[in-house]
Amino acid sequence: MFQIVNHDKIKTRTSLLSKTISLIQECYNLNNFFSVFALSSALQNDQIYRLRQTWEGLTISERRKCNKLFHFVSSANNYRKYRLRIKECALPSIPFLDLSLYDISLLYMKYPTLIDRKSIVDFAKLHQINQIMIFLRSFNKQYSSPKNENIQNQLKNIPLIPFETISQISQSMEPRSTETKDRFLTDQCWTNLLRKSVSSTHFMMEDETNYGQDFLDKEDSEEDIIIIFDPEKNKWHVRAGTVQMLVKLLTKESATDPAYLKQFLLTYRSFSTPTEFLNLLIQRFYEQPSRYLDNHEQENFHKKQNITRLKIISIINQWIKSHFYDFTNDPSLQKEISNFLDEAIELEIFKKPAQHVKSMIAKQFESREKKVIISVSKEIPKPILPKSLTSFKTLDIHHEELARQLTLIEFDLFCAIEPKECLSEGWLKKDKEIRSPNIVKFTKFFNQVGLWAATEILKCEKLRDRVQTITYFIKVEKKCREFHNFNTVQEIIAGLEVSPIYRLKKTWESVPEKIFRIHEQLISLMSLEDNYKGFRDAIQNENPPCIPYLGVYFTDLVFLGSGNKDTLPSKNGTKELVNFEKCRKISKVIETIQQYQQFPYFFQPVKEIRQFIESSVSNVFDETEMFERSFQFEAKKN
Amino acid sequence: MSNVSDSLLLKLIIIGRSMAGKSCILLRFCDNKFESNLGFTIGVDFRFVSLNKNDETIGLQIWDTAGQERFRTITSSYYRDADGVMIVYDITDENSFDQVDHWFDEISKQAPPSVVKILVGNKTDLENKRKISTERGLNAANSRSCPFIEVSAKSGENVKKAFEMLVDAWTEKSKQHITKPRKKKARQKITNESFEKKDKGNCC
Repeated sequence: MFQIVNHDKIKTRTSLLSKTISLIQECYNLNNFFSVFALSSALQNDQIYRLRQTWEGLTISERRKCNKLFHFVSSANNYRKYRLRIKECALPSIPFLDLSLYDISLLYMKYPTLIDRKSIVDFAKLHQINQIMIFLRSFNKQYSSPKNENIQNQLKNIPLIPFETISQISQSMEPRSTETKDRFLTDQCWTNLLRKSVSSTHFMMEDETNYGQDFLDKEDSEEDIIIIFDPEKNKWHVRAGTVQMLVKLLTKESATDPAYLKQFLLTYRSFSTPTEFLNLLIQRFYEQPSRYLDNHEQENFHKKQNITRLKIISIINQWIKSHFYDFTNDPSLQKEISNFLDEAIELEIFKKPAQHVKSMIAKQFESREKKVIISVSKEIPKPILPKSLTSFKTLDIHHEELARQLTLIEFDLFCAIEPKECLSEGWLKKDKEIRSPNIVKFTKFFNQVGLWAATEILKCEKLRDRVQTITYFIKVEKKCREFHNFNTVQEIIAGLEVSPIYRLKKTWESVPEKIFRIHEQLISLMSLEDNYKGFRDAIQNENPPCIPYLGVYFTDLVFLGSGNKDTLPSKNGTKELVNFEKCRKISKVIETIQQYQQFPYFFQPVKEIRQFIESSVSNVFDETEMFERSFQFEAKKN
Repeated sequence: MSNVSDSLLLKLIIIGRSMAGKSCILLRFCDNKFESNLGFTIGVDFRFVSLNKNDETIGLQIWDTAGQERFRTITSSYYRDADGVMIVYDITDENSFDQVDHWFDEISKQAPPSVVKILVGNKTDLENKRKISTERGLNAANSRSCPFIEVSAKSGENVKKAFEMLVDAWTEKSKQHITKPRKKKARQKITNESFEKKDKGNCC
């Protein structure tokens, strides 16, 4: 550290810095993690870190290398990166001893050695400690490189320089710009620099040694995949790839990104089929090592393969858990998966997980038949019933109760929508009934309720009754807003805004001002202006349960769909790769929808009112009839 | 939006059968406004585009209900206060052309009488799959006395021109109605105020 600070020329400092970085990289390659940590922490020390001009002198690839190393030693997720790496690296290696010592001391502090004072030894704890010992002892292999006595002696004799001195020199080299915000500033600059360097190369790594180490194996072709670095989340992710490669990444022993699996499962139907996906998983399960591997590499392969296989089983588990509809109507797929699981059960180590998945399938079939009734934790408001349940008219139902029952019906319809229906704009295609049956039902109900409201108003011959009906529906609108049921709000607004109603000037003029203001506010809330900013902001600030107005998300899906290509060319242009970036964006929209499907409403269904609503909404005036009546009430002007 | 505060602001809507390529046309027209790599919340202002015409900046607020065609009932409120409507059909899809009549009907019922229209045939890049000849499109437009153009949202051909033609048609029409000069300033805040003026004003 002193070496770097002690040179008064920026250039010399920079070159020393870059040498240190290469040295760390070298240690990393030699699996000497102890030195990696020691040297990195020296560089990250304030006195070095703050030397802005020195850092700026580095080349882009050096900066990138450095960032990668810092990332590796980062304590995020309890040193996850390092822990993963050391588990799979080949011997000889030197672990970062401090971390293991830290683990042991944590174990000691957290659990008493004796349980319950009855002097029962907590064996689980000892076992865990023992594991760490074994882990440490496993690094017994010697480094084979020849010793260089000279250098070793020199290293041992480095004089220790007191911190104060270093700090003073550091200050004198590049004085502080502002007294207080210095650290913050340098950090900012540093991040910006890194970002610039990353973006200037279009997120593509050119440096072979650093080419997404977590992601790719040596044998993976760059033609099959494009990965990009997300500087905000500080991690790599897939931009595009062949279907095979995307599946391979899912199952990689080092794959650790649960979001990727989720996104994949939500969207893979847009570029593949369930059958193809399953086959690729099975292929991967039985993958054979390449013949060119030596013994050591073969051993490594088998070690990794077991992890991969476990991963595959857990992926299937996840798939069944959250996307069981892929299997319900596909007997051949069901057969294939159960054959595969039977084979996996035969292999001793996978017996338990595979059996678990099998029982999972059985459970899924059961729960498909009986609807799960969620235990009620909240108090259910008592329904407000009309005076007579046998014969009542729309306005006899209390507006709050109508809002509740509409909310219940629409929540059921909303929940029935499955993620796959949202893919590839299925609800707009000619075969929408097959592709997106539940979306079609949902939108149909939406239109019917709107038209029903319009019909109810036009049924009234007297102006006073029309005003009363409009007032009633505006109150329903308001209640639905209070229930966070934005869908019903939008559908009633739409009903009151259809031309035959909208044009009834005299009727609208008689609506009480207070009521009209409420209506106006709701209209501006649901307005298309600024891409539904009002609605988007509102729903983000509400606690579930909510029913969103789905049209907003459908528009997002359409624009994401037509604004992004399905495939991207590979680096050398020989292949068309699935644009997974697009899938990721689409899956975010679908996840938003799913998130609202999870929280049900706690209202008591009233069978009679529900039936009444359902029969009313299927019995509405058609457009011509609406216009005729509307003209009757208030004649056309010219 | 600030730099056009004293210039014209027009509200345009794009309609047509789903999958006719409405969203593609809009995306193409706003090309320089955002990248194909659009973020999660699709840019709030990409529906606002300014167009330079004879040294004058004209703000276009383009409303598009792409993806929401199934929510049929909501569309009527979008027609209100529209200055211009672009009706899009797909030259490779007979059905989408058949619906053109329906859209013109819809406009006459829902939109203000002053609205200007343009008929747009999309997907000229698929010339070999063409089902609707340019002539048929032109005839349909002529019978409604509105301008007509064929575009390709994919290649970008004529897309900008289509919007310019619509703006021209509007300028032309507004000259004829000198009595009702439409200044944009007054129309800056769209729905709420105009709605209020129309209905609320008289009520109290």
